[in-house]
Amino acid sequence: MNQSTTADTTGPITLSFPVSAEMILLARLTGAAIASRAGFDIEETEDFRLAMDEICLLVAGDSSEGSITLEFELGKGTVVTLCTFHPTSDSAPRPARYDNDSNFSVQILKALVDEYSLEVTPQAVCARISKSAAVT
Amino acid sequence: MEEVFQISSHENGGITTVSVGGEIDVSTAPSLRTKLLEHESSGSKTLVVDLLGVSFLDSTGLGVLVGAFKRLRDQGGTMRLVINQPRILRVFEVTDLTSIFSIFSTVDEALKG
Repeated sequence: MNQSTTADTTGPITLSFPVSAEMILLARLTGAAIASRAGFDIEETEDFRLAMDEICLLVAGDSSEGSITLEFELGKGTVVTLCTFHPTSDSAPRPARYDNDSNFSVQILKALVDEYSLEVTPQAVCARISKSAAVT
Repeated sequence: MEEVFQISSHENGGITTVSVGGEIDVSTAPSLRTKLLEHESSGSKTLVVDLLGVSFLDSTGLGVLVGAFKRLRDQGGTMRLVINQPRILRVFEVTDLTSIFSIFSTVDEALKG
């Protein structure tokens, strides 16, 4: 199998897991591997690892039920990530808690990535971030 | 690589120092909260939180520190942080928390205030 040090283009990579503290650690570890694959340097990889943590915390909020799906699109030196929280009927999203001015996760994410957006519906919470390496 | 979360505390001259190591995240932040609440119930007015050994800090850890800061302030106490890693300090900067916390680069400086 031929391997390159950075990703050219691949299909999306998807990780799904139930909401739990332990699973967010898995998201961080996966994020570090994805960042490395995309050609990020050490600092950018650490930023991306923290971004994975915060994006999961953001979409799930204080819910202890439901599931999270992370979808990564890798380009050369760029990763686009979609993070979707699928609530159960008992963990429906409360839009007020996503207020940008008072949410530490949003503030941290905006500092770590190049693009950030969030969509909240009764059915799901979906955050999208894009991060590129400084030199590609 | 995940580092093992460690937390300890000691008191000297009326100042309690809580030293934390490893990763502060949604899994470990409750242990930090418990340790800080122990300090608050002890009646000591000055708290130094040594984060020199912390390799990762997310918003849940920030929330715990802010909560402890507010409770201590309401009781007339003070809280000082010790941070020397740019990556950890950056989390405080982007959330504008450097404007409310007293942050020092060594424990000795924090103890002197």
